[in-house]
Amino acid sequence: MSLRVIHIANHKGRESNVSFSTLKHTNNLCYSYKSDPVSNARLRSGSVDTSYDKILSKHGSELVKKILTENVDVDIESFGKLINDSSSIYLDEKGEFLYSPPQIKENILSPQGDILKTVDPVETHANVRDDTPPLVWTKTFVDREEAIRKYIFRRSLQLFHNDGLTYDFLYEMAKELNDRKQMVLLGPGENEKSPLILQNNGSPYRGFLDGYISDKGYKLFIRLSNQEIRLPK
Amino acid sequence: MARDIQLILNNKTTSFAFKKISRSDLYGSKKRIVLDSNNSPCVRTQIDEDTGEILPAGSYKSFYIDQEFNYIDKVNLEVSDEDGNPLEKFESTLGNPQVLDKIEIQDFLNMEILSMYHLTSEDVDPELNQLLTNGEFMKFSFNYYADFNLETGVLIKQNDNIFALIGNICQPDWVSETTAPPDSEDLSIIDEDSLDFQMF
Repeated sequence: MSLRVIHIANHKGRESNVSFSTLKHTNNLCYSYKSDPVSNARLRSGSVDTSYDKILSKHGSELVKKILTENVDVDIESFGKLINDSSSIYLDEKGEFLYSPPQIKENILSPQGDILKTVDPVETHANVRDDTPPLVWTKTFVDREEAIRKYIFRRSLQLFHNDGLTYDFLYEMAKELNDRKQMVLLGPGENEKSPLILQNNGSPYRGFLDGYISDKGYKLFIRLSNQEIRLPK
Repeated sequence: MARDIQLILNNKTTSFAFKKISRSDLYGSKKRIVLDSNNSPCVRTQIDEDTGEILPAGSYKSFYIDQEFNYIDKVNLEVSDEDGNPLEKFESTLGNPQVLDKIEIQDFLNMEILSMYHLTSEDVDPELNQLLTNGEFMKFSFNYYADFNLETGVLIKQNDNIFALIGNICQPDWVSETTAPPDSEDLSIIDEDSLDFQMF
């Protein structure tokens, strides 16, 4: 399965698979020194044995003196060593390796940051793919200006045709929205009121289809929003 | 110098205090936690794949090095784009007045939005206030910290509140019949932990 293909229906209920790309602001930075490339390196500067808690518990009130005279905060064997690859792991509360799989839970937090409840994580499945039911037009049409005043459109997905047939398919959708000067709320095929989820366990977004045409062709976007423009209640 | 957003319209400056409004401020959020066999929270850390040693937080540092492993101070780095063109470093715009200009709705829609601020001012320029009340969208340059990417802010007035949406303007091309489909891409950049979005 390719992540860049989605299944979408038009305003007449016809459906097809089309390609898409995320609109991105390209700003890839290249670093150099005296015109030669540089790279990022991670070097060891301490170890478990030289951690503050460890040396404090070992030397207590003598710690400062020990640091000045015996460099107990420096592990000569490891200091300055290059770290090639590392992996994330979990340790128990005492800093020991786990010998049984950990439990995964989710804290649900209020807008004020208080824990409302702790629950088992719920797996959510992507509903915007080439093998899921098509995204369909809901009955919710919104003026562009009204929509942009209400919702933060964090990102846009631009749709592209794969062949002549899907060119006509997308052009007609763009023309319909261009003529209306409106966007339409998209819903996943199995439940039009659900949000769009682009990948398994991904964030839910509301997606609005927005289209334009000219003699140069068409532009068709799914505008993604997950936040209203308003103050907290 | 005050760390506020200062905006100029027709030679008149308005200073705004600002506060970030995140998604979790509106809807709450969810946070995944990992528990050990005693139901105590686990500590996430790194392990060195070569030596098997645990790398606690603060036990390593990142540096730039040249091809001969010499340490390079960050301030001496040269920065360029992918084509090798040197890039200019933009200072923070906070406290530095920025000129306001109108932005078309389509350009606004084509922005990738990174954050939203609620702006407050005791003395908003009446002309600016009127433009915003009339529904105009006004853009300005924005940079929280000095860096190599100057972002764009857009002012929106909603009821009595003024918001600034901060992000980058993207420039999509028209798609003609001969346009080739895009290359494959990773969707993880649009992912984040969050609550179900209830706004309808």
